[in-house]
Amino acid sequence: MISWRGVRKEFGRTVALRGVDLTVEAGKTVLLLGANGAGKTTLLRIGAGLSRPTEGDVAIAGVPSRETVARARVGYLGHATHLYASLTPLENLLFAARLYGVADATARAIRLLDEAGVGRRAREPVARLSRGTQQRVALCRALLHEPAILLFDEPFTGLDPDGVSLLSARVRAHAAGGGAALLSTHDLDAGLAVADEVVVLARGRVAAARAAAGLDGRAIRALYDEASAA
Amino acid sequence: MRAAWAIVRRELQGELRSREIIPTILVFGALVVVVMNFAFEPSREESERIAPGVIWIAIAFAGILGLSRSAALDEENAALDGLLAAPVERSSLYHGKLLANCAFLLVAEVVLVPLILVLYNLAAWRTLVALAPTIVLGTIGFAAAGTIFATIAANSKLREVLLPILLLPVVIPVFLAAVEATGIVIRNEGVRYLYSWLRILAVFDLVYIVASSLLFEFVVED
Repeated sequence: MISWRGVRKEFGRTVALRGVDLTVEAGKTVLLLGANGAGKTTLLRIGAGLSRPTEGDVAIAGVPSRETVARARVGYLGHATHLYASLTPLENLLFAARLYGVADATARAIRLLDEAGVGRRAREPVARLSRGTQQRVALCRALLHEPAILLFDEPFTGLDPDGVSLLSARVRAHAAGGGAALLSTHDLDAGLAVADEVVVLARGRVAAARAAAGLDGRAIRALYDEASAA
Repeated sequence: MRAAWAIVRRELQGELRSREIIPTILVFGALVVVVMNFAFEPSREESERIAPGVIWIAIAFAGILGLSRSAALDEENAALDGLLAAPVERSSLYHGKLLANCAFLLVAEVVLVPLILVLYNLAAWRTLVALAPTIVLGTIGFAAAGTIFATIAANSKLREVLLPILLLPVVIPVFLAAVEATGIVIRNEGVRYLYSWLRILAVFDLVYIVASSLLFEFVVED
């Protein structure tokens, strides 16, 4: 459903990605692991069309990821929340709905916010909400247009256990509905709970790829260390 | 244009809520005007000579603060990434930001320009009405270049310093034409000369808008 082919990314003299090949199939959730600076964020940003690869390409259902039709199929959540602090959660979602051309936006936004447990605070400025609550709103924003592909960078940031459960349930439901997801996280337990496959990035390359079934935190840790040392 | 209007609406909504940009432009612009008035204490003839420059210096300096703040709001919470991830053309994002910045500047100028004319004893309805096309065209040119340079500068830690250094040299032609056109109106020197400067302003506006629309994509992507 989404594939990176020979993706290399340079920032001046710094090489962030060195020819990454990776595919996330429909109905699958892939957990992307790696040390700080391994290239996870860059990989996700290129997939979301926010960054141009120096070499290689990314295709979403066969369409280059930088095409607007491809971006419409992606729900992206980066390190930050992408929310305007002076607007309310509902206003932020309605703004996103206009950009994505979402039909019946108000009802859908309110339903998502209610499901995320922030319905009561839907009309308060985002600036007044805690980081965890803002993250829940950011999740709603990423899911608003019912994307086929989720690209989430550290999505568990700031979430309390209920929030982690909510996000995990959302990702599982997405995969069950035939969607694809690529999640980057340092929260191994939360990530493993939803992943079908684990991919480890090290120094800009895919250093290891395994099925998630049967892996526990210790096995992941060993895989991670082995890949990082290679 | 759907995306551009959505952005304009969001920018206005945000400004109504936070009141960060227009008051900044207004207060700083008024301070510039008052300080210059005390510094020069001009006679009637001197007022006609220096008021056009004062108007556009106030707009330039105060406007830079407004443009910088507007771009900074898109950097908070990486809101700009949210826009870039959306399925809309990059040029639409630029057009939306440009329209919003023009609106902020023009609202502030509705107060600032009459204030300058009053302080320099040049106030007259005829002057105000006749100045409108010059103010609008000059503001569009300034905002057209300012919107893209503010976006470039917003990624830098030196954003407040970087923006005027990048922007002012580029918009010198707009300010020269705007000052000349404003002077012609204030001194009531004739429509024929005014039109030639207005045409020059319109051409610069068009050039800046087209060039910025094409370049915006490369400015906002890594």
